[in-house]
Amino acid sequence: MAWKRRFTGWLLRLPGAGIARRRVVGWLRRSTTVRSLVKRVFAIDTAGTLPLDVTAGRVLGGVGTEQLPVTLVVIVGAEAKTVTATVDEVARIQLMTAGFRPVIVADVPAFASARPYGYPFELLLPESEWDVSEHATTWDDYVRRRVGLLFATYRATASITLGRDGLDHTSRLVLSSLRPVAPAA
Amino acid sequence: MSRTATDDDDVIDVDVLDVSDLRFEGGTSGSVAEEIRAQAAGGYTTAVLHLDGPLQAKVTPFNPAVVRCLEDGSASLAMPHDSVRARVAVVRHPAVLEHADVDLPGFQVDQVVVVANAAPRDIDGYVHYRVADVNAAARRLFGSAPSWAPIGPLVREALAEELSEERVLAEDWVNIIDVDAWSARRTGYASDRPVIGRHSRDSPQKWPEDTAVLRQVYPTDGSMDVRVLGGAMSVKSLIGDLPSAWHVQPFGAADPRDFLAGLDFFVYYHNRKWVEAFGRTILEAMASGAVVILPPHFAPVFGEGATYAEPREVRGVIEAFYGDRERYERQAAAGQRIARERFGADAHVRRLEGLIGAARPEPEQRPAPPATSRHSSERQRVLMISSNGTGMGHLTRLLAYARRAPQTLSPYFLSLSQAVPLVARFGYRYEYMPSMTPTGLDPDRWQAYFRARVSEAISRLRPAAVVFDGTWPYKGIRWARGDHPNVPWVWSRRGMWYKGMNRDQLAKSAWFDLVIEPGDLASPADRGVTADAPATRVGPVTLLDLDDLDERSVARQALGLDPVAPTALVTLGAGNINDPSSAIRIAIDVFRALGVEICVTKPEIAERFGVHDEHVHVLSRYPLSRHYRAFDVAVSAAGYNSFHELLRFGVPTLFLPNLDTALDDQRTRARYASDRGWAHCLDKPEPHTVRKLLEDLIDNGAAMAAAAQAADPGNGAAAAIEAVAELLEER
Repeated sequence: MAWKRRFTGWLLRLPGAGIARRRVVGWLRRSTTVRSLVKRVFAIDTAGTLPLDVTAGRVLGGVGTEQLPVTLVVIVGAEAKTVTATVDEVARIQLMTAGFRPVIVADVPAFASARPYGYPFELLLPESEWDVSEHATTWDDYVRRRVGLLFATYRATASITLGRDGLDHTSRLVLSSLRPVAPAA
Repeated sequence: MSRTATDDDDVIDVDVLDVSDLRFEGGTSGSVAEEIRAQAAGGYTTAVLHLDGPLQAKVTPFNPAVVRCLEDGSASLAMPHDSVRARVAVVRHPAVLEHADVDLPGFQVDQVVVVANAAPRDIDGYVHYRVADVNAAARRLFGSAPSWAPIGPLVREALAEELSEERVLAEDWVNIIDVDAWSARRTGYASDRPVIGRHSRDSPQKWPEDTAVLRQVYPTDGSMDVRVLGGAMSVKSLIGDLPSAWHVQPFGAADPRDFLAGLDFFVYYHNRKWVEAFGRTILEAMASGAVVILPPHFAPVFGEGATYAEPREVRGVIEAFYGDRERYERQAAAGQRIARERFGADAHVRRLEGLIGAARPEPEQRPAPPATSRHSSERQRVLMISSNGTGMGHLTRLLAYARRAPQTLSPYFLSLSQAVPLVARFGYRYEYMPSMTPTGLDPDRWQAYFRARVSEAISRLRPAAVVFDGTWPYKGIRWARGDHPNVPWVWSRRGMWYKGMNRDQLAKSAWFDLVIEPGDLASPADRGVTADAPATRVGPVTLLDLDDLDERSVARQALGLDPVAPTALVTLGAGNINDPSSAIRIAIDVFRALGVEICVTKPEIAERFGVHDEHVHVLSRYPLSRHYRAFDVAVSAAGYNSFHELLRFGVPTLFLPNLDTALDDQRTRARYASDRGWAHCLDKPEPHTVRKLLEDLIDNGAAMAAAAQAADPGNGAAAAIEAVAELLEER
């Protein structure tokens, strides 16, 4: 490996090497053409595949639920009854659209809301009860790690985030649009 | 910091502009973050500017320590197109400035200091940066030539060859550290043999290049416990497979504070060609309270805060300290004292004062110093983890321990049971994670998820111990243990497993530092594999003691029952294993025929409940056992909790054991009680036999229940949690 370092050192000592390096490396990193070329040559595909294992719950019948995108339904700051109403409505939208597999993520332990539908329920610690003397991190960091882990574990490709009022018109539209469709020719 | 309105833009006006590649994983970013905090505490305002350096080719987020400073308002993030005015720009890592591919037309700084955290070139001639190019970049970006601030004597020596004396600050720009945030509680050695370790990035420069030296400083023979945070691929390529006595974690796999807290000795030796100018992880180890052993060239930096030895001397030095605790503690204290004096926040404020004068008085605009996030309570937290059984037995048992915990312990729950909010009624905080079945996740993925959740919780909550109650220790437990090797684990597992079953699970006792077996009144009949297994055995565990129960009249009033009518309790499990409806029906019909009022329990987490009868009181209370004096007779499954609560609290009972459990041998338990004359039991309830036995209980049950109470050795919950406390005291 020493020869590589010596060669690099020699290269960097060439007149104008510093400027060339800054400009060229910067351009390479930003170039969509180069990125596209690398992707083709090395067949890098980050899209991945839909998970076969994550449950779709008990609402949908038929085969093919493993083709549906896993969707995190994140409800923060709502009361338990709002969570229950939201999950009820999510179930109805799922039934009507057969378009997604929900994972309910809430900061109140409204487990009974998801139980009848067989949806996974993930509980976040509420910010209002966060005690800095108890946790060696901030609530923001905690949520980032938890939600990041949920995306990775369930391989969710979509999420909607709801506040104290539950679903609004836009989130209903988003949930209703998740069914995979073939790309336009 | 302030934003000043001008004709066409806002100006970020600060005392200090910290400039670096803020994506660095290691000490550079950590030092930037420490300095930001020191600046905030000293009244200096800060902005940070990120420049893409040459060492990070992949898309990478900012270092979390820097992000925290930005989020809590200790600093603001300046973008290259911003207008910024600063009294000093402090550039960390000269190569970052050298390779900067930006223009900063809106930046005005009074002076520039380049902190040289490494020499311009290695011993073998490899160039890290060119001083002339860095100077040129500083002039281009900030309009003035910089002053240079070496991070230690070795770098100062190297810079002297390329810079005139007046361009170099008189004092080294040493890294700083918040010693209190790193100091670990140490009551003795971590193990029965020295635990030594190191924390550094895994590159060939950071490890000894010579096999003999490597083995001298990091024994491979198992005589010492060697722990590595940061990876050891370089070692693997040097000596083949990693020694089995080593425990190696990749960079970032554990919180460095936790890692260092588990070491007795921090031993850091690197490639002789590498100029390690400072070594922030060394400082962190000193602050943690470990004894630090280094090659002699570090002596000018760390002074008496560390011990210096040639590689061949390292083993002897460690053994000498290990054999003399008093000397060990003296050296550890010296390390912390030096860390505080030379590398504390005050040292940084003093050098800033020397550069730019005192902080400007703008107290109302300054963010308050961030509250420390370290758990400061003297009570030791115990993380109680319960698996998700068919009922609430695991959770209830842990709750029984928690209620009797000494004042020195602070229980906190993480449960796989959706019944976990119940613990809040007893004043405990809790978290929940779903078990595998309701998620649909495949086993390996769920195990990885369990590990990640538990490891995250341990990092965040910093428990002194973890107590797991369940009969099936997950693989994720072993992995999580590996992530936090210093946190002891306790396995609370009841006995009475089906004969010959689950032997492989019992072998997992080796994963735990202590195994507690809550006793069973029927234990003489236990033929399962736990019967002879080593464990700390305590009496049968129930959530409540007899003294906790309501008097009969109070209990009946609380449950809304007739004050005098004979009343029966029917409790046939949580309803998640099988469908007990038929048994319930038989019991209800028989009691009605006998003129007995009927109460049926509806479990808190039942998914379905098939009792719809207007003559039946449906009870859903926790803990229902508090009201057991309300009942004259009971029909119950023979799960651990129900069995012991009913017998301990003197309720005449007919046990209908659940025969579909995975592991719990309810039939043996119930039969033993029946054989001893404490209760009746039936495997297959038929109306006529049920009637006969219930009639007998109504007539003679009191004497049977009294016999059971006479055989009760008492609640073992207090002894169980005391065993946990003793385990912690021993450590």
